[in-house]
Amino acid sequence: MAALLNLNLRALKYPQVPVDLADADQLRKLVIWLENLKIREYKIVDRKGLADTASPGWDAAFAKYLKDLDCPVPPGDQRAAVEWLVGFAVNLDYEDNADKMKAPEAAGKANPASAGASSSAASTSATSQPGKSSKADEGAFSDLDDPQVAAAVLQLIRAAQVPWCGGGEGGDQADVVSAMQAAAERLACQVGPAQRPGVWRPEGPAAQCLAEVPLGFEVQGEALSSAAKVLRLLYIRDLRRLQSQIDHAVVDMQEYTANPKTDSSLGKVGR
Amino acid sequence: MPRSYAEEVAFIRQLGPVKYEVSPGFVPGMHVPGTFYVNDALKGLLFEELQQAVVRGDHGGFLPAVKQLANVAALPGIVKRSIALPDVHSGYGFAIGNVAAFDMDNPEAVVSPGGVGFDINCGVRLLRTNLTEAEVGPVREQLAQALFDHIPVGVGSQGIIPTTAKDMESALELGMDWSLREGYAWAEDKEHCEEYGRMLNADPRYVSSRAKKRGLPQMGTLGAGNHYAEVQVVDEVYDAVAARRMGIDTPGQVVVMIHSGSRGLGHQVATDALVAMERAMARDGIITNDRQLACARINSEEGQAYLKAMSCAANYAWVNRSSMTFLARQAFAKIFKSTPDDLDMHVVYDVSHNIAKVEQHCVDGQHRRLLVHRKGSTRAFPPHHPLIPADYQLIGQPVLVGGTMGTSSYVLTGTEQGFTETFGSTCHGAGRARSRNNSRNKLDYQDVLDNLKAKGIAIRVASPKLVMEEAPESYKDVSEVVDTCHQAGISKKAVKLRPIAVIKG
Repeated sequence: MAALLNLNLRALKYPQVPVDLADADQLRKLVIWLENLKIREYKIVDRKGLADTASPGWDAAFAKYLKDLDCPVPPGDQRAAVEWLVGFAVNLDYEDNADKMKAPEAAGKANPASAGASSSAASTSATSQPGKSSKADEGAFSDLDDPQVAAAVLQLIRAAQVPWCGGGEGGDQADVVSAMQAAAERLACQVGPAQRPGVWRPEGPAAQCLAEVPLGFEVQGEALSSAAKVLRLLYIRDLRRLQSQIDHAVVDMQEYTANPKTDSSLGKVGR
Repeated sequence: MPRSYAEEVAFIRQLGPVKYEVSPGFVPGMHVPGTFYVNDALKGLLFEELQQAVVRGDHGGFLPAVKQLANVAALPGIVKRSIALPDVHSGYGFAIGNVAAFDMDNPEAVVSPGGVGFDINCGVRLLRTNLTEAEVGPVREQLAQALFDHIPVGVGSQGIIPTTAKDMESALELGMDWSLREGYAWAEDKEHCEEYGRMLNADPRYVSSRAKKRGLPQMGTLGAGNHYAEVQVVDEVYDAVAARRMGIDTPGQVVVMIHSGSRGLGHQVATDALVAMERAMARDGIITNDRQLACARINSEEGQAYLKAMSCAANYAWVNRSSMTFLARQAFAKIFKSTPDDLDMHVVYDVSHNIAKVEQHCVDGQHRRLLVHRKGSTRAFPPHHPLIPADYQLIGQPVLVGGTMGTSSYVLTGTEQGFTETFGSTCHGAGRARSRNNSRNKLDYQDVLDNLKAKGIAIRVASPKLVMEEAPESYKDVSEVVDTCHQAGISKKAVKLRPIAVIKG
């Protein structure tokens, strides 16, 4: 979550990324910054309680603030509340600026690229263009309604430089889906081959890749074989993660102990 | 009354296209049958050897490998069968290429230094690079020279890594963990090494000071005999998935193979143990068919002392190969003006082909703890075995089979069938076809060197006169050996490698 949080804050141009929410001072400063620049729920004079980040009354002011915003996060968990607050700010910021945002290579068309930004827009427009969207697509990307996911998806699509113009009515989930597929393809073609040999396999969908995985022993039936492979792959992934942690620990230790030496004058070639 | 050749052969039965069984009775006191794997091209040598021994009678000469295999089957506590692999040839006590497992829970079961060999933890390590033959070809000679300068070779050679007696003690106890601590190895090297490069039961107190003295100056040296460092290229890929997993799937890709062991230290450990065990045999009333099969009960003082010292020698060999890996990386970095990291010089795997280890196997449907002796045989564990690295869980343990000087080498992978049939073991190399003396008499070393040059192989040798002992002509054809194992299903061919530069003792 911390990664997404910092990603969102960077998008909002918060000056002190990354933020550590465990630090009460950082958390409070972030809240007043969000209110001052992005949310603007209160009039300036009413923001005093939040602005005084050193005051013992700050927590109470923050609780009231969340209540005024109809924050769905149960009171007490400040961290989760701030995460929600950031997502909320992204949403507001997006609504404010949607008109100015354009897909990089479709700049000339000047379409508002606000797909997925607001929940209502996304869900209504997805049904309004049935030709482009299958039910499976809707199911697969149902959490596009969540503004945080939407922001992350947009970021990904932009990073992959996929030419994309959002739906004409201000947001089309099917378009997002196809843009994401394009982004995935681009990643596959351009980033994949740079991986180490053995890591990257360019060809085929998951089922085909799975068929090529050697199981190493015999089981009856394709379904059972696939299931066995998937279980083994999951286990191996965990094992690999553990091994990598061990390797990191060894490397950390070497910082202190390693001092390899050679002295070629000692060398003697035998007969 | 000695038996005729026909009578001897009557004990040998063909079980499959490449599999033969030697029935009990072939030599006195066999507890289990013997099994050997040979194809038609290789079986001639084994049977000829037996025939000559029959003609010669009991007078002098070495025991044929088949007899040695059967004598091992008569040792106390052996389980299932005594196994010979296609590269089998006569050795000290045990044939080289023999696998035998002894039941840890049988108080009579023995450990024998002859079943491990004098060069304890002799083994092969493979490093990959991201260089191609086209890039390396023009600087082949310089590269061979740089390796020769960094890795001293030959009898009595001394290494360029300064080592104190204290370092030595730690190295014997810690194995590759010592190399890691001192910065000679990468963290990833350890995970791609059999036993993670360290036998945990090693105890340097059981290694004689004489052995330590011999080992001290030799750290980071290759040694003589059949040991070598070769720059090789990927010649042929048989199993694309396995090759890709190991990162050696591009034909023409350059790799480095290091074949070395525990030098004088291991030899001394074995010699010390043989002396102690002769006493133990007399005390415990252990009788063997061959004096060379000196052994002691696993749980006896002598047995435990040997296992602890052997583990130290094994650790020494891993440290030695790690040191040479460090030196080879330096040599490459120097010639290609890059860093070992950028050259992707990772250890693909490191196998041991002279060692005894406690392993868990299933015998007759029962779970057993066995002391598996592998002499001139490589462990080849199947996919998903818990003792192989995460990276190779799907393809099985890589098995590195060094050819002889100037011939091909192979990378194989372990199989489930091998695990059940041969305690997860396969061949280790070409295996001798001629004895050392025999080859010295019949071959001219200049011809051997010229032959290598004609093939475009850069070669650096410390003692050219010893070269003919190791000439390809003295060995069996490694391809036949590997094919036999593949056909028998005890290991699977993955990649074939071809040398372009050889460094030798």
